[in-house]
Formats: sequence, structure tokens, C-alpha cells
Amino acid sequence: MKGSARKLSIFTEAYMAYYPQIFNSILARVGDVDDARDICQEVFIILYEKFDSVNNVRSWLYGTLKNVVYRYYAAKNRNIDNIDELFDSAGLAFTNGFRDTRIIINEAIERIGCSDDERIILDLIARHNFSYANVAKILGLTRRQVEYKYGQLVNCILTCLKEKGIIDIAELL
Amino acid sequence: MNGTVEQFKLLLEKYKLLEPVSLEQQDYIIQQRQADLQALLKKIGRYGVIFWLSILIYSGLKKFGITVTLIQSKIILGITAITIASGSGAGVYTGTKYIIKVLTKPKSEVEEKIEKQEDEHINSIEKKSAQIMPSEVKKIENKATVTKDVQAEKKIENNDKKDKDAGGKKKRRHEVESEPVSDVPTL
Repeated sequence: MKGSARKLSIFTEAYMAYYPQIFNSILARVGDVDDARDICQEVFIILYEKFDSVNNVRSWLYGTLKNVVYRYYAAKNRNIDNIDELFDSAGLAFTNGFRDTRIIINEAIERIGCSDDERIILDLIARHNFSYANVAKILGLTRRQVEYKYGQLVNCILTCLKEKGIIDIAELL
Repeated sequence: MNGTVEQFKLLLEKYKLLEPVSLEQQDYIIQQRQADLQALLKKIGRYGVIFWLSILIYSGLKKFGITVTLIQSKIILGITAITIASGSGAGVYTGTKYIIKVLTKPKSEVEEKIEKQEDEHINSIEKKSAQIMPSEVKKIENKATVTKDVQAEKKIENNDKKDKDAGGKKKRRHEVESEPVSDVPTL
């Protein structure tokens, strides 16, 4: 009983932290707010059921999200062949010969060593274009703290890119 | 630093690594987060008032920049509940104590007591007066007789004086008339 209460507490914290980015990712692929809410709820219910066996909550959530969206499209009788395009992973996409650069940038973003909160900051601001103020609201930080942390994270990514041979990102623009 | 942040944003845009969300949608997601959590907890059968209150404390403290875990917020909730319970208990206890105090002293009883006191007071005065009366009366009577005697004596004295004065005057006249006039002048 104590263990399940602790599990529920940790699960709730994970929900509060990851809900915005998971919801955004689903909404970007589904396009309907109500459907996105239902799918998001389903993803988190599965997370709760398998919470004990999950090591990395973030990557698990993104993986499950993909499966649930697949199921959603299958249930709606939509063309499943085009679903891969919806997820548009860096490895699959080939946009105007940028494939390699995309993979490198994506790897740099994913591989930088940072805490869960910093990862959420990076995901929300860099990928989902969240404002500093809204991220501060989600994480319980001040706007300046978020801005500073994001600046530090960008510097880390740029150093990572330098190690991979991209000395100035202006070359890529 | 702002320059590098802006350049990084442009880089992500160019390589289509963005999934942008409008500001309205951002606000909607932040507002919807708790409501969806409530629905989810109800669905998995783990929704409880105490747990929900601890979630409210958790998110409320986060809004003020205080980061606590849900377990810590449960402890805060427990301490708050104990404080409120003990405070209200003490309030109720003192309140009932006061009410009981007031109720055990009814107005009619107070009036009776006053009457009793008044009666006692009157009785004591009567007793005192009864005790005092005989000696007092005697004293007064004595005083009255003494004054009467004194007045009678005074009257007699006055009459005597009058008589004496009248007799003295007569004697003087008689003496003056009877005395021979001397030639020797008096000093």
C-alpha cells in the first residue's frame, strides 16, 4: 500500500512535468484538441500501469505516444502508410539533402548531459516554441532562471556540434 | 548569449525540428493539465480528496517558485490539518466552556440572590436598630430631661438677675439720695 502510494506520487510528478510536451506532440500529429486529450490520457494510463518497469520516462512516453497515435489512425481508418511522415524522425526524413545535418543536430540535442527539468526546458522552448514565462509556470521556476538555463543548454549543444566538426552554426544557416 | 539562442532557433526552424504551439494553446495546455489529471486519477481509481489536496498544495507552491515533492506536500497537508484541527478544537472547547458558564448562571437565580441580599440587609438593619433602641431611647430621654432642667434653671437665674438688678437700682438710688454731698473733690 505504501509502495503504491509512493508510486502514485512519483507518477503524478512525472505527469505534471511531461504533460505539456506530450500533449503538444500528440496535438501536432492529430490536429484535434479533444482527440489529443484522449490520446494523452491513454498514454499516461499505460505509463501508470507499467510505471515500475519504466527507466527513462521521457523516452518511454515518446515511444508509447507513437504506438497510441498509430492505433488512433488505424481506428479512424486513415492511411497508415503516411503516418511515418507524421512522426518525421530525423533518420527517416530526407529534406533537400539536409538529412545528415538533421541527424547531427538531433543527436546533439538528445545527447547533452542535463537534468530532467533542463530536458523539459529544452523540449518546450526549442521544439514547441513555449515562452519562458509559460515554462517557468510549468516547472515552478522564475522566468530569468528558465532563460538562463536555456542559454546554458544552447551553449552545451553548440559545444557538442563543434566536437562533431560544426565550428560555427552560421555556416549551416 | 541572445545571439546564439536566436541562431539556434533559426537552425531548428531551417531543419524542421520544430513543433510550434501558439500562445493560446500553451495557456490552454497549462490550464487543462490539472483537470486532465483529475479525470485520469478517477479513471485509474486513485482519486481521493486528501491526495487531490496534496496535489493542489504541490502545484500552488510551484507557482510561488517553491519546488517540493508530492510526498513533502502530503506532509505539509498533514501538519496543516493537525494545526487546523487542534486550533478549531481549542476554539470549540473554550467556546462551549464559556457557554456552559453562562448557562449555569441563569438570570432568575441572580434576582433571587439580590432579593435575599436585600432581605438580609433589611433584617440586619432592623436587628441593629432593635439592639440600639433601649439605650438610645434612654439617652435621648435623659438628654431631654437635662435640657428641661437646664432651661428651668436658666429661667430662674434670669428672674433672679432681673430681680437683683431692679433691687440694686433701687438701693443705689436710695444710697445716692441718702449720702451727703462732700466738698472734697474726688480724684
